[in-house]
Amino acid sequence: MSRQEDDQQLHTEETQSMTFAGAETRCIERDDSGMEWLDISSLMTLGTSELGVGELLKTESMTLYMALTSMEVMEPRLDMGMLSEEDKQEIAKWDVNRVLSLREVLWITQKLFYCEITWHSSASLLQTLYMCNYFTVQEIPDSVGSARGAENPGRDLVLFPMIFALGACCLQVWKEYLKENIYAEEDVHFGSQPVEFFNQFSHSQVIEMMGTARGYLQEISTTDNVDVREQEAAGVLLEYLEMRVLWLKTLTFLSVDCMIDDPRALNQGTKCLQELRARHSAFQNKPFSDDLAVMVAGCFDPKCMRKYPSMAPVKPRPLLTHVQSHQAFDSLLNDLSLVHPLLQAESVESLVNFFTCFANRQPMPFVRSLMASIFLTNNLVLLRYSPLNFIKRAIREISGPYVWDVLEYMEREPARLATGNTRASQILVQDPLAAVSRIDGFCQEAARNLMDWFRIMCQNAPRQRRICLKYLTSWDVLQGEAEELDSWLYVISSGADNRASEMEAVNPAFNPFWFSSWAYHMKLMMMENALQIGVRLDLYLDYELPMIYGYGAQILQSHFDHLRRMETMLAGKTGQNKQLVREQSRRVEHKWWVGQHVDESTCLRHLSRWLVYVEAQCHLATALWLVSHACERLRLVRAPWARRLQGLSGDALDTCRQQETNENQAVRYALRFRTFSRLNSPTPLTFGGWMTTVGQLDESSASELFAHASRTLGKARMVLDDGCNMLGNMDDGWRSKMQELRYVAVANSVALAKLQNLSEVMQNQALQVSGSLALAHRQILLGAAQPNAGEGSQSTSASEKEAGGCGSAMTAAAQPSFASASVSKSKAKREKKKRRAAKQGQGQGALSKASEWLVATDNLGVSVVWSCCDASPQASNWHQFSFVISDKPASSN
Amino acid sequence: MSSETAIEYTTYEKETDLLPAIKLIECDLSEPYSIYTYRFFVHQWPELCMFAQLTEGGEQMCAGVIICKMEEHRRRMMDGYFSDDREALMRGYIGMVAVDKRFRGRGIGRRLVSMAIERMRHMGADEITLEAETGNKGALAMYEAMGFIREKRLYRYYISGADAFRLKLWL
Repeated sequence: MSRQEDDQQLHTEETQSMTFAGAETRCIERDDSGMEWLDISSLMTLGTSELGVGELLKTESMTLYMALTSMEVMEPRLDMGMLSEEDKQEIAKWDVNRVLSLREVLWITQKLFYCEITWHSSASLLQTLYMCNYFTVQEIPDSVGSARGAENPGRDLVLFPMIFALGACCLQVWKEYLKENIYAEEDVHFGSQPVEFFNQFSHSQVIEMMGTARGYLQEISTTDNVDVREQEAAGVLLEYLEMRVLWLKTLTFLSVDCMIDDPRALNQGTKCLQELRARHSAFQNKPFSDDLAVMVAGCFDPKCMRKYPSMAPVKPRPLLTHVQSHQAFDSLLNDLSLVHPLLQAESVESLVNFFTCFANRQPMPFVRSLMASIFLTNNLVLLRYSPLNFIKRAIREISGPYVWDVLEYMEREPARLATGNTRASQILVQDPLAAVSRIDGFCQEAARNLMDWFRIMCQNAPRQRRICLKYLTSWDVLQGEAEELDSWLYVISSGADNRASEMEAVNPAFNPFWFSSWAYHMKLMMMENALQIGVRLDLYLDYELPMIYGYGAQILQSHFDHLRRMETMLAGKTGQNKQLVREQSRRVEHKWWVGQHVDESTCLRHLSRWLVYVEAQCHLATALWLVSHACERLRLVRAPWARRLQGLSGDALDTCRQQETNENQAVRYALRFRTFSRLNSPTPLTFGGWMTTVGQLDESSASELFAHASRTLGKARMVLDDGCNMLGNMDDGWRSKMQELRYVAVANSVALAKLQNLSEVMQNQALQVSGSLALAHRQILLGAAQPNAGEGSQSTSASEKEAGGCGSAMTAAAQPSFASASVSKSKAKREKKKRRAAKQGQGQGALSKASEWLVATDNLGVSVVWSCCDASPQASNWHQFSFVISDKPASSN
Repeated sequence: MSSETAIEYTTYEKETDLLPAIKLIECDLSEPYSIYTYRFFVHQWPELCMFAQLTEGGEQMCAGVIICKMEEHRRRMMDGYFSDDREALMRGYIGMVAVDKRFRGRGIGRRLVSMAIERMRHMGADEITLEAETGNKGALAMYEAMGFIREKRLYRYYISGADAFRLKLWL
């Protein structure tokens, strides 16, 4: 007897004689399959006899998630696989040996296609493909794919080969999912179901069986004595078959493994994809006959989850319809066609643009995962470049070639560089390689951040925003490290032997800050992205939009100023040791674009492009801020508590009133922008700063704000027109992006004109209502504690401090600027008007005026729809900057 | 009938209090919860499980329920809003709120939520969070009128595949 058998016998003897104190002795029973069972009913009864009704025994570590994912067996709401009598009857109708007509095969094939695309749309296998009993059948009939298949040709010669090919396609997708580029339970349901159904046959076997199926279907299509409807079904099945074969080839060739192994795979995959898109497009354009396919009862089992283990309840969900499935598949193919341009990209800048646009498209999880894999697999970017070279190229494209020339010089002739007495120079003399590796060390760190940025762009939109916000801190740290590196680099490359260079090194007027400028540029881009995704995800309520756009405009202005500085520094060669650069005559030729030299003029054109793009967005954000702020005065934008005010009394009314206080507003503001407030740069716009900024607009009427917004939109158009002309042949997808933004600016101008000229009432109100007046009216109506609204900036400072506000007051330069607007009045005049408005807010007369304002603004008969996709259909990627005017009035207060 | 005077707000005391509330929640919420979920809440935070009891025709019935919890949140005090000397923040969480369809529009939900917020505030909560379906306009409007903001969107949060908003109120 082996040791293992010995142990097993001992274990059996022990358990067979197991008794429980106070409980009836039970023996282990063995069922027909050899499974051992121990009846513990008496133990359970004994164990629970002292528990009260509803008493819960749990471990300390039990979490809410564990409770939520626990399941009550035979409770239909939780035990999703529980069969009712009706379910049992339906399932019993299916028989694997049933002889299938081609019309029945077509019905199953179509439904499997809907299952497959629904699965691609983030449903679980249990909710889709595993419902099909043919897909998960345990024993495949021997006759499948063989000559004996003639007895049940629909099943054996057509359906099963199609299912094997479908399984092979799913396997390719599944392999990609297993790379964990996307999130389980959000984008894909992994579950713990077996996937052996996917790979029962090799690709060559599947293709061979599909060939046999093709032959059979062609024969049926052309044979005279076959039922016409069966022939029609054969024709449609042939189309599905050809598309399936092409889909399998596309997935195989465009898989990362295949493209790494075979350089020709990309072209082969692209060719298959083009052919598939053409076929599918033709298929979609043909009329769909709903009554051709014949249903097979019991073939799909919606309660199939009972057969598989699951960590959490899986609820049956509706499949996509015929039209939805084909539209989704068309979209999937369209998104997959981006693989080719991605691998053909020849600059980091074009990749940044590519991934930004890709993130806006929100493709299906499979494409997002594939793009992430192509971007970085086996520590190779785009299947061939090292991340270190890639990051160096990324910095070089924005900061210019100087720093890389210095690097090459350092490696070649470190002694000549280290002639000064500076600390950095001494380090260089002692260990030149260590000095070079310092830069490499930073680049390694930066590479991690940059790789993460690209991969974030492949996540679903809510994840993108969350991770962007989370990673901002690490970019902030990186920027700090980069500043130190820049100072050191400035000193060692200056060639000076006095301390002046060390003083200059920390001065932005002298030091271009090559590395940190790039890091700051990336950080600002992420901040802008996080805010804009928030708008697209409907995270901000209308009443928050003025501050969101106001804050957004400030970030964009900081970004613009930063880019302008970089451009000026680079164009003027500031901080460059010209002698050092002149000595750089020898250029190393690199095979790949990531290692090739980037000249200054190319970098300047990159910066110019960014400047146009950021400036245009800054104008759009400013215009939307002004419009949303004016709309707030006209009560076209209302806070939720203000909407619910009428009819409330007692505590409920008090709760609503409290929301209007500066203290509550400051808390909400701090919560909304807390991630930004923790960063070292840009200078955060505190609540106090924000109120001061808004205060600048107080004396302007709504119509003046509209007029200013209109001019700002005009500026955006002009900037974009100039930008498109400037692009020349340096497009990389930027032209379409700028054109889309231009559409948005034009559509917004049209919407604004409509809003301004809608009605006489509207015009009158817009002319009359100033900020102070509207605020005073609102405070009176709400009965809030602080009726003199214009004092926001002073009264908030205390609450802001309490709220842990960022401390440093906004400088005027860092705030959104309105110098060109007709809003600049003297402070004394503003204060006077505020006092007048506050005075107006006293007594019955003020209440009457406030009520008149309420009635007048209730009768505007219009509402504004923000972040509207329909505003400019040509620019669906930019609906965060769009608004339209709806004739449907805003809901009454 | 005067809606306010007839409604009595009570706190969980015993298992029998829970059963009518479970029925109400099962009718109202799309997500199915096991009995363990209810007991997880009420056995650890019984004071945060409150009911709106209504007497009609001499019979008392559960017109509304709110079930909450409060724990230290694993995230450290990074927001700057809270004092620096504290290691962790206390997060209140509103797990379930349901109001009988027949008695809606009487402010029962709002009152239950207000009571829960006040109770959690007294227990030392720094913030209160909850999730609501993105399509549940009524619930969102109620919470937002009380000062909650949409902090995050949670993709495919519910088993139906629907997204949720994570709402947060800083106290």
